Amino acid sequence: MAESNAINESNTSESSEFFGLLARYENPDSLVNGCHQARLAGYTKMDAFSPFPVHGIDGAIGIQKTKLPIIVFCVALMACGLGVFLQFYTNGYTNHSPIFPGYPFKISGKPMYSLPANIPVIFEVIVLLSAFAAFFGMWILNGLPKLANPLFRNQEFRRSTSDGFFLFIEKADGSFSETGTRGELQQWGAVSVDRITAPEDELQVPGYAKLGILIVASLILVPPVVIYRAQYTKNPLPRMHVNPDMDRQFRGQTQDASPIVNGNPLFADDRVMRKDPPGTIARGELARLEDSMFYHGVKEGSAEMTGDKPKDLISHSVETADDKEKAESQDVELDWAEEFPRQIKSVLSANASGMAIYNRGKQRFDVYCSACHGYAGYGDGHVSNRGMALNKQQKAEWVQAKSMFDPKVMSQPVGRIFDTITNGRGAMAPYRSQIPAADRWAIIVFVKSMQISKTATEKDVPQDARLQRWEQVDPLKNDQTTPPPEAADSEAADSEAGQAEKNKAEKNKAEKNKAEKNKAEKGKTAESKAASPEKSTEESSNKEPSAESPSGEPGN
Amino acid sequence: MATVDQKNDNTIEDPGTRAPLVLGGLDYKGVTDTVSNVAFGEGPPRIWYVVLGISTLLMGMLFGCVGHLIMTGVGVWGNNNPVFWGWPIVNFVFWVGIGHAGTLISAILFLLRQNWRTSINRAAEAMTIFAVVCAGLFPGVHIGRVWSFYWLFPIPTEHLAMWPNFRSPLLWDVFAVSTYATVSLLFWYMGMVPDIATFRDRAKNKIQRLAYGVLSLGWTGSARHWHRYEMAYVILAALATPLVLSVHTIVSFDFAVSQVPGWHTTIFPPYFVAGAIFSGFAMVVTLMVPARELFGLKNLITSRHLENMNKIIMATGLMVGLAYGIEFFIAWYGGNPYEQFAFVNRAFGSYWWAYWIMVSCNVLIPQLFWFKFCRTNPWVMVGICLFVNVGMWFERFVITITSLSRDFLPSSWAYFTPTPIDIMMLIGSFGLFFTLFTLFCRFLPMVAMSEVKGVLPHEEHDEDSSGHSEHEEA
Repeated sequence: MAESNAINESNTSESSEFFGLLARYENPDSLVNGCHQARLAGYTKMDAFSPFPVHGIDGAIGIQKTKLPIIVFCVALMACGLGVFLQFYTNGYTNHSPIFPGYPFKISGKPMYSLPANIPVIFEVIVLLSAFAAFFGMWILNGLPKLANPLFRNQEFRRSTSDGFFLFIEKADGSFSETGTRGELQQWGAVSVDRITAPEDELQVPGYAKLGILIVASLILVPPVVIYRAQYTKNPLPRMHVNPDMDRQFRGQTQDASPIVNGNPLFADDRVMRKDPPGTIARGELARLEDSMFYHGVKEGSAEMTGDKPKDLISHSVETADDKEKAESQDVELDWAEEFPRQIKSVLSANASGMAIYNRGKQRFDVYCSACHGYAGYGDGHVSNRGMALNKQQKAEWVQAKSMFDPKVMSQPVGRIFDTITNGRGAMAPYRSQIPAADRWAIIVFVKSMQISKTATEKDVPQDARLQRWEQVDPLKNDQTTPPPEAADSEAADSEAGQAEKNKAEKNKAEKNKAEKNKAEKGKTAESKAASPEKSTEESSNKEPSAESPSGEPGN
Repeated sequence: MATVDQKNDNTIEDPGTRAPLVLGGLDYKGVTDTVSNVAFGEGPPRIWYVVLGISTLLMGMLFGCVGHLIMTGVGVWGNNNPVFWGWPIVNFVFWVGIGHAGTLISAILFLLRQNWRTSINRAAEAMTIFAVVCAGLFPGVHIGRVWSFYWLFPIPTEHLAMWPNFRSPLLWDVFAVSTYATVSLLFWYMGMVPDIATFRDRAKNKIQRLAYGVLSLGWTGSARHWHRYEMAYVILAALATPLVLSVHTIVSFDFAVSQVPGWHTTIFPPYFVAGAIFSGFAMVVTLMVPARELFGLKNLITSRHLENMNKIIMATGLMVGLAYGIEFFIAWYGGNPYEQFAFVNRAFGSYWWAYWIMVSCNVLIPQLFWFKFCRTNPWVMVGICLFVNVGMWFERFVITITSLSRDFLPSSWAYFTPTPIDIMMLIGSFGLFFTLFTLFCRFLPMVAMSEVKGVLPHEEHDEDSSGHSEHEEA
């Protein structure tokens, strides 16, 4: 031991810094004794080193109880709060903050926030963060990692991790004097006592290491900066995909040719798109097949409906014919429904809903039909008028849109009109894809109302409405003794008639109410608002009370 | 110096004395030399290179399979409809269960002041870490798009604008397993720092000194450091104890919270935890018996240690057997026809062979440990433990596959057949595990030297001499 001391001390040069004295003890018990004696002698700046925790040394050397448990407990409480908040915020709470909004999960009808399901994650968060607190807190309190330590320069000290028990008394201690302390340590049972020194220059971090650390630290900053920059800069390129397997999929696109597999097309007909297998019915299509009245305007059980031909295309052949006029003459005539299907009839029979379906039909007529057929159904819509004007200049061969009051049309059963809307006729395109079946029927309700208005007599007017209004008020009635100054269709006549009636307050009031009502019900299209009060409402007020008034007029 | 002179057999029970934990009269330096010799001795035995070589090859096969799977998709597995959870989940539960023995030894036995744990806890904790690595691999690649793995965690991302569903047991699993892996790693590393410092002080060359020096964080063995270190160790043990129970409980929730017959049972959490400890201890014994032979640790990891572990294996094996019985009883007693069918189908359905392999390996074969010869003979105990490992893998297979393949709708019933990729990945995961473990044995302190020294009897103490005389008589 003396030899090793000599070696250690001979290594120390003048430029070395002296730290203190290191005493080695034979076993844990003598170390505890040595510490105890040192403490009694008044030393405070000292530490004991042993390969394993020696019992009784804490008291002997005067170690305060560590605050680590309190730190861990506080972290655990915070972790509990964090776990509750995390799950409440992300799953149980709706906010509209622009960044990281909550995302409420509604699952099995359970409450948005339910604690029991959150307990496992709360528990795991507590354990994880507490473990971090214990682990990192211990190292931080211990002042580790600290890779440079003057004690490591002492060869003998290496036994402290195997079988050596050491007591180190710092030079900085108030009671320290090198010779005196050395004597005391040997007196308290130390096997050997070494001076702990380290060359001063070695205590400094070398310059190249500083530079290296600086470079590495700067390089580490590069990726976060790049990521942060990418967060707010715009890039015209599409998003990069780590694995572009979703971009290139083995499947055919709509309308593509069949893929070639082993030199042959996968499907014999060379198409990717497949037809329905025979005998299958697509989802939602069963009713279309079974309810021929509602969906095709053809009477139940009619022979034409029993084949496997696509039912929407029964009269479709007319569309494909070259000569539209000829096609119309060769028209397919089926067993058309004479009356409205039961779904519509049941609605019509009730006052309120009957009026609603009429209004719906009128609104749809204004949207889809009026462009050609005109708001009043005379076949004088803007498109048709323009076409006829072009005809006159030999610039077009436009076929005049049908008037709803054409005798041929007047005689058509509702099913036939339905088929016309569905599949088109002559120059008229099919509207089945634009107008759902129920709306087509609503349009027919409106068209039929207009047609009735042409031929209606007093008998068609409900009794109560007639009493209230027409017998007292209407000077235009056919059977009245004084013929009205009328020309039913002309606006001038209408306005004259209006002026003639001006003195009759009731009539004015009724007219006004009705116009407002019609406006309200008419829908949003500007044309319909602009056009129909002039034509259709006045017309109907004059001529077809029965169609328009079932619910409207008695109310007035 | 303390010289403990004991006979070589410390398995003899003698009331009134404590059997010595360390044999061969090892003192502090002896313990250090014995353990350090593995890393700094004349090099590892040739068999170490053979094991490492084979393991590395198998690990390469595993990573090849993983690469193939990522490029192709999870269809390379045999998972089908309705067996959506095939071998990957079986392997996951198997490996997580293996890990539990390490935490049990390091945390629960520590809190229970079982000093014999000190010789085996380090290797068992290492086994935990490596088993969790293997376990995490399978659900990790099962998610399909592994590059989106971070969607599992509640990370605020603006482009996704979504959070995970915190009511899902699968999410609990993410939290539980990742917490478990992290805490186990901290616990293992913290316990190892004083021993790495020992290696640092015995390092022979500059590379070793640098590596062990950095890893040991400048540990000196200061009394002040030891004081906080011990406190942190107790706290970590106290945290790890409920954690280890919660992890396999939550793994069992993956099954029990669903409504599949045979899974939806409240017995799953305790049953899974018992099974995990059972399989984990079997793996510890399987690893320790060859390791103590090859690396000359027989004086530290003594027959008594192995015998104690075998007793635990038998106890947990009986618990698992009881759970099998209770499951059947409740299926009958509960009166649910689907549940009854599920269990009858397990034992006598198309997977009857797996069920009876499971029962034989887990319940019947461990009964041999009633005999002391079987508990102390290394060949017999390793054989039994291998059977237990096989049986516990089949337990997870039976639970996962039989229930899924026969769900509520008979039209969707199907038989599960693994693909070669399934089999190669299972074998490869053992390669990964053994590669890590072999490297650990060679380069890190395999026995917790500081803890063993702490429980060594001090010289000239009563305990030492009386123990000596007792064994003379025996």
